[in-house]
Amino acid sequence: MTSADSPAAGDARPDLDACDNEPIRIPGAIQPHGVLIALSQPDFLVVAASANLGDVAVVAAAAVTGQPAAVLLDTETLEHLGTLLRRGDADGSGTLLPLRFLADAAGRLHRAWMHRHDGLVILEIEIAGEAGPPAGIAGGLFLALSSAIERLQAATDPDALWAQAVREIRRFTGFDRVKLYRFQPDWSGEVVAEDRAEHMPGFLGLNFPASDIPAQARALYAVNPTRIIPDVGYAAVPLLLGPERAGRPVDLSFAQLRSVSPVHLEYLRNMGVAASMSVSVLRGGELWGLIACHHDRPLHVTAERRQACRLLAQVLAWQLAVAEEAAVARHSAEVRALQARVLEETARGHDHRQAILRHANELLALMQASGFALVTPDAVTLIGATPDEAATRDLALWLAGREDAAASFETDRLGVFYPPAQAFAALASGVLAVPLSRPPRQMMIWFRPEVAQTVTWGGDPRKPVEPAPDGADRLTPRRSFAAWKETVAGRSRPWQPHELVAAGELRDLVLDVLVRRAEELEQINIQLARSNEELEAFTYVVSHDIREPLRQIETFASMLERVVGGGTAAPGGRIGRWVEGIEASSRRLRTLIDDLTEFSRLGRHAQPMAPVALGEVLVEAESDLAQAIAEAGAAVVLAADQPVLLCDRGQIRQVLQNLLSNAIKYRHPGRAPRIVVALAPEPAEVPPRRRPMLRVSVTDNGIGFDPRYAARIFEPFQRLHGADRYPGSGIGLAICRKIVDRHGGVIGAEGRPGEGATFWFTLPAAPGGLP
Amino acid sequence: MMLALPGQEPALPVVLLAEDSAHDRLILEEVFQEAGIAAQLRFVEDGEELLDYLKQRGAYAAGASVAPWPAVVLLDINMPKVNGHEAVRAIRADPLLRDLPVVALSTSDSPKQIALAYSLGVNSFLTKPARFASFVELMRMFGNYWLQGVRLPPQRS
Repeated sequence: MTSADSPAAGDARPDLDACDNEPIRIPGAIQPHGVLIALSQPDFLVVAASANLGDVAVVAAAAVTGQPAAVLLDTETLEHLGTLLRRGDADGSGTLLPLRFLADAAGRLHRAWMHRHDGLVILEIEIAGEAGPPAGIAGGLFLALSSAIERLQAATDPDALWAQAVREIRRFTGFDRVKLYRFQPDWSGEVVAEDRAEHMPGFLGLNFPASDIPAQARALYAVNPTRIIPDVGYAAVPLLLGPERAGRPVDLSFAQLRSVSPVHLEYLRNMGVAASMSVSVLRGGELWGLIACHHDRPLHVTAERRQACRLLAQVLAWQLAVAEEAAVARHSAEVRALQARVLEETARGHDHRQAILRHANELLALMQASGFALVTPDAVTLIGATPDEAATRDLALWLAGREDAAASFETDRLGVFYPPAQAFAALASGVLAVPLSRPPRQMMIWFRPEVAQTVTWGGDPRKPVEPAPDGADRLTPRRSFAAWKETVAGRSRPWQPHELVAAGELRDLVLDVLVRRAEELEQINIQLARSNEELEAFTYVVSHDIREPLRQIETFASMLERVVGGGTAAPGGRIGRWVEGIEASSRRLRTLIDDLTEFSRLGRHAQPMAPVALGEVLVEAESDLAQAIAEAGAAVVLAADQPVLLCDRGQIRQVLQNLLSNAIKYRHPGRAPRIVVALAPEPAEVPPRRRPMLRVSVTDNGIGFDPRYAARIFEPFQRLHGADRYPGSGIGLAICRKIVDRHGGVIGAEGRPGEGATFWFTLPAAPGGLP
Repeated sequence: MMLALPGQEPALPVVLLAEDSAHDRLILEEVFQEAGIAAQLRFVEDGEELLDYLKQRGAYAAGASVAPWPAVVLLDINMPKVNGHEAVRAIRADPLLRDLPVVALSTSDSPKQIALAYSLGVNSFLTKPARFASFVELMRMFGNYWLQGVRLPPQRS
């Protein structure tokens, strides 16, 4: 860039690294368009004076250095100076001091710029370029300033504001080219606005490497916001030091006349610039940008007008803040509205993930993103342009493994931090990830595509310096500022601060919702525990208080039977049949109560899951049913090896017992029951991280059933046959389903009337238990 | 409550039955009669009355004339006020009562109930059968065992 005091060095150029340390604050010389006097405090000795002092003071610099100020300045000036110092006017950037030299018989009144620094009072009198105001400024400076400020305030969006700012500065200074140069986070810079005369080459949109304005020059721009070089071809005027300085140079950090680095002058000349001025744009004390002014002929701008430019730069900074705040406020309002909708839906009972996904497109638009992913332990939901599911989950794992994984992560160049992302750089060079839980197993990720960025540099940024043209053994600033295009890959548009704030707010919102969900769950758990207690009490009532009168009914019935029937033999009379009816109904009711009690108790007496060989449990279930099997002449065949299930042995024994018992009970009248128990691995479920399952099937050659009822038969007390033909309460299969549910498995049945049935269920395989 | 069964002498051993259900008391009377158990069957209707009887207080303060010492107590578990479990606990905690034979007689056949009753100190546990004939058979065994078979602890004076 053009405004630096030094072009500085590229990497690995030790002789130019020194530029970064070049003593630009103490050059020991000034530019020739003024004179400089430095006074000590509090004794007001002239400790330094520029060699050209005689041009205005009628007395030679050498004659006054080391002397009291009273030999140089008249009494009135000294008194005025004392007053300004006491009032503190000379602190900070300084003030104007009306000044007369003692030796000047004509008594000319000069306007000296006066500031205090490093224990010295520094007076600068500019003698060049006192021509009238540039054509752009009619009337007084003050009026011109206030109308310029009004125009700046009228520009609400940043682009318009920048354009207006360079126009105003050009109007105030008369420079033929005024640019607004904006620093990037890496201190490279881009010309974002430019106003120029037609004959001046344009730099708008060009980028300049950070080394064009080295750190130490940037530090100076941050403290001394204006800098002018009226004539790049100037001959520097040395500062003469009084003897008491003992050669210690005067710090000219805040001086207007400071002589700049010869390397910088060469840089300007290479650019075809004859006069240069710069005004810093500071935001919060930080250097945000520079207004750089160039002229192809010498041009001076008075201190007053430079101050006016400085004020305009401040207005620009304020207006930028206003414009940005307005943009952020608009954005926040939109974000809040969206948040309110998500919150409302969640409050209405929707899952927060559903609510987020329902508004994913708005989230995309708000975050200026092209893709969105909601990652949870069981699912990756992708919206818009994103990497595929596997790649997104891998990315989420990497994000969750970072040291500060609890914090949000954002980048506009993911591939630099996470090399696998280079494979999908086009989709997702920009990533903003916001964890939704701690540890961060849930997260929202926004993606921004690669912007096939072409950065146009003002000259080759890799070669900020070149060998000197005369072949001497030194390097000089580059001479070509012709546009040099570089394609930057793997970058997205950067995330803006207000977007990060919005993402953070969204995270807080979701976390709030999650906390509320957890509280609701806790409430539900408490209610569940209460219901369970009530259910137990109910079970007790059923198992005892209903059993007792039922038993009494049975006993009375049998007592009655004894009287009317004259014994336990089948009674012949009507009353005897009625008594028989009472007994049968009572027995059935007792069976129902027994089954219901067992059903409701299931799980409460459950044992922990353990590896169990299917064959062993089957043998146990067969022995439970030995009598029924023998009576029916049934054959039970195990058509499998000895696969190992992970289950509650007692409960699975009961499931097999119920299924075998059913197969025998519903046998076909025309053939002997044959029951085949088989086992096969269950196809992998989705998501695949679930443990492997085995499917146990029990196939019979019995009466079968109408497949329409395949689901209903697992409901409690659902029967397909009258209780008279096939006794039972219809609870057996419901018990089976409950047990299989408890194991995380599924139960089902297939059959056709008259053609037998297959009942099957799945259970987790024990580790290494697959056949 | 005293039910001197017809044709029985007052000298017969007393079986004290704690049973809150009037229907069960009716059934048990019939069962005892059918089984031909040589005993006086006396009823109390809950655990509290049982303890009053055994400690000869309240309605039974008149002593042995209204509360003759039982050879064995038949105890329903599910009773109002003081239930069977609490009654066993109180009997076993009382030095004067702790050697008294107590047989639980319950509708329940749940292993949990049975285990609890034994842990509290019942001498045996019977489940009430539903069929009258089975009930008669069970009580006949009970009578044979407790009233004729076993040697009971010496009667208190």
